[in-house]
Order: sequence, then C-alpha cells, then structure tokens
Amino acid sequence: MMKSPTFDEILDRCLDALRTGASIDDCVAPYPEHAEELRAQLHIAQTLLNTRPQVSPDAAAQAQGRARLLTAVGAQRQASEVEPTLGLVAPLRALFGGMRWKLLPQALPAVLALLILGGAAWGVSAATGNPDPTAALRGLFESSGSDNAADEPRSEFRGAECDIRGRVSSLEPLTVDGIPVEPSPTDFEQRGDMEEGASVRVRGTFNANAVCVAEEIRVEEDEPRSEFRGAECDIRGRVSSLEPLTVDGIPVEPSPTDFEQRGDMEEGASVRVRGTFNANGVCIAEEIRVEEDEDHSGHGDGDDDDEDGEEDE
Amino acid sequence: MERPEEMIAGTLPAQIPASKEQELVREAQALSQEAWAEIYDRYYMKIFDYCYARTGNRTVSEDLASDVFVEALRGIERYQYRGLPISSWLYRIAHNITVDHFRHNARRPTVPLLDESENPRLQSPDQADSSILWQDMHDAVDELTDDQQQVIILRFYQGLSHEETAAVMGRRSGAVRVLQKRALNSLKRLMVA
Repeated sequence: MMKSPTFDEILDRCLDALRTGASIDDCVAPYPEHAEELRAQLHIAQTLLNTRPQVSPDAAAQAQGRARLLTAVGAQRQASEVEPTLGLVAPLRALFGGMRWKLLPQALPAVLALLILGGAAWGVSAATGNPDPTAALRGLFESSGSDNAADEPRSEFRGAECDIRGRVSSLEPLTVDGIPVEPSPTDFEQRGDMEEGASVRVRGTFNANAVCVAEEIRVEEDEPRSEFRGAECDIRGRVSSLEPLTVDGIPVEPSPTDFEQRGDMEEGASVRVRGTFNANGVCIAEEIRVEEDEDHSGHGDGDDDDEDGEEDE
Repeated sequence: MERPEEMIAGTLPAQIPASKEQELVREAQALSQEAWAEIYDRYYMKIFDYCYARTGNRTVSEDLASDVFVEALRGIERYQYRGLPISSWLYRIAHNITVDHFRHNARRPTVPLLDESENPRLQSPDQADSSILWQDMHDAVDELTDDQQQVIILRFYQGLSHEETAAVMGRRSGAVRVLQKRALNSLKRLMVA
C-alpha cells in the first residue's frame, strides 16, 4: 500500500508547482482534506513570488566589480609567482616586519640579492626606456611566450580617483583589498607603519593598468596587536555585546569565507567561538555555537529553529 | 540595463555539469582570469539579487556583490569542491558579508523598497495596491529571524531547492523545511496583523 503524502510533502509539491506557474486552485484540488491550510500557506508563498525584487545593478558598477575582481586575480597570481621565484619576501618580512634583528644573518643574503636585483632593474629600466623599474625587472623573468592577461592595460581606469579603505592584502607587491597600489613617485606620503592585515586608507589615481598610484597611505588602526595574528581562538564565554560582537570582551567577526553559526545569539548567551585571531586581536570566527543554558527554554517566542531538522509537528 | 532571461531572479542560471564546475573551480584555484571572469559573469546577478533582497539598497548591493567575489578569491585556495555548485559557496559568502555589513552599520537588515524608484513594479501606476502589499510583505519578512529570512530569500526570491538552500545554510534539508514552514506561518500572522 502506498503511503499517503504528509502535509509538508504536499506543501512542497504545491510550492514547486506554484513556481512553475500553476494556480493555487490547481495545487489544492487534489488535496481537499488539507485545502484550508494549504490555501493559507500558498497564498503567502504566491505573494512572495509575485513581490520578488526585480532591480538591476548599474552596468558601470557591474563592470567595475568585474575589473576589480580580475585585477585582484592578476595581483594574487603575480604575488604567488614572484614570491617563490625570488624567495625574498619572507626573509624581508622577518627582518623588517617584526624588527627581529636576531634574524639578520639569515636575511642578509636576501637583502643583498634584493639590492643586486634593484640595481639590475634600474639598469634594465634605463636600457629599455621603461620608466617602471619593477615592470622592467619583471620582463626579465617572464618567458617570451607567456600571455598574461593581468598585464593587459585597462585604460578605462586611467585617471580615475582611487580612495580605498581596506586592509593590506600583501606588502610585496602592495595590495589593499586585492587592489594593487604603488606609491606615487612624485608626491607620496605615508602615515603609520603598514603590515599585512592593517587597516589603511589609500588616496590617489588609477593608472592605465588599474594600479592605484597612491599619493597618501594612512594606517588607520591605532595599535595593531600583531602578536595575535594567526593564533587560534577557541573562546567559551558569554556574548558581551552583539554590535559589535564581543564574547567576554573579545572582539569577534565572522569569517567572510567560511563561517557557520549554530543557534540564535543574544546578549548574555553562552557561546563557543572557534577561529583565528587577526593582527588586530579580532577573533575571525569560523564557527559560533550557542550553548544551551539550563533555563534557556524560557526565552523567546517558541519559534527557535530546530537544528536537527526534524519535523516538529 | 537589460537582464538576460536566464538571470532573472527566481530562475537558476543554466546548470553546468559537475565536471565542468569542478574544472572551473580548479582553474579558479590556479588563478585563471578566464575562470574568474566566467564565475563573475555567471553568478553576479544572482549574488546582486540576494544582496538586494537583504539590504533593499541598490548601491550597497552593488558594492557587497563585488565584495563577495573578492572574498571568494581570497578563500578559493581553501575551497573544496564537494559536488555542490559554486553558487552555494558564493551565497554563503554573500550571507556572511551582508551580516557583517549590518553589524558594521549597527542596524538590522531592512528592506526599504518604497523609495526604490528604479523598481518597475513601483513605477507602474496601476499597481499601487500591489506596491502597498509589497511593502507590507517586505516589512513582514524583515520581522523574521535571520535564518527564516535566509530561507525565504533563497527559496522564493532566488528559486533554490530545499537541498540547495540547505547547502548554502550548512543545514539539513529537513531543517530548511521546518524553517520555511515557520517563516510562512509567521508571515501569515504578520500579514494579518
């Protein structure tokens, strides 16, 4: 004997039918025993479908977003190609980033290599007439057959003002929120010390290659606590505030790329937060789990979500 | 701007085979600009629609949608293809980014559609009644819990199945069904009130 469908299964079928253009009457007809309840829910569903927002983005904004993404892809690829080839960045960061002078002997060969390469870049720059020594040097390392779309000029950017508030994605080459940045050779001011993850404001002008030629870079964080960076955070505590989110006074932000929240948070709720500290001592959470208190059942309107996904009615 | 038919909210972009999707992910992880351009072109509208449904503000949604792809680029190295469309991951990033946006702007999600003059439905003089209904509905949606809003937007505005919605939310499809049922009941109650 065939099992008769549950109300939820019937509702699902009807919702799918509604989405393909069927009427509420058509959906309800085969299920007279559920007609009244079905109609009520389907009416709401139909209203939702009919009131779907239909707004288009501005074409220029869409194109700019695309250019921003592809620029960031190019910059990231460039960074990943340059770092292993030259092997200079890590020792330099070790040397200058944290002022750990005891690493000087290890980093010295890299510094010497950089000086030699720098000299070579200026030499090549002078010989080829390329005003950009970095580009001239890069040309030495690129194979003649490589067809790197990242280097194609994007002239639609040229002359546009750049005013970027973001975090330093990498120092070598300098990128902020994935956007490549170079100090203006003629007019540049830097306020504060930069490090990866630092919050900065960059002002300048885009060149034809979508590089922001910066006239000013201002580091906006007060006291970056770099000793935190990369350390695992595993906090069991109570939500001190929701906006901004802090747990036992520790600032917490959900990871934009990998975040899962289990349960509804409210101030005072007992939670467990797992993630990684960034340079500013903020716990970038990959998981926040609300841990039930004994008396928690008294809160709310009884509309808490059933995480296990079992039907409750 | 004209929107391609397959990109209109409520209909999924044409599905691409899993093998092609996996290849696209591999190329994206290798930082291929062509792959990222394809991902952007394929999913931008859907992500914009999602952000718009959450924020009700076109300009903010344009910025957030752009942020989603840059965040995806940052996280692609750690992304593991598990047979789910990459759009599931993008929606998840979009959700986190919109939540973050609201947190930084110190306000809860709202859907202020009455001032959206660009919305063709609101511009139509013979649909005054429906625009009121529309505003009522969005005010009601705004009253739902974050998870319920997520389900309503993904299921009814984005046209995702229960399984796809569950993948985006990191829940089981049974949980999505429960959330949907509660959301519809809450909306019915709110609309009557």
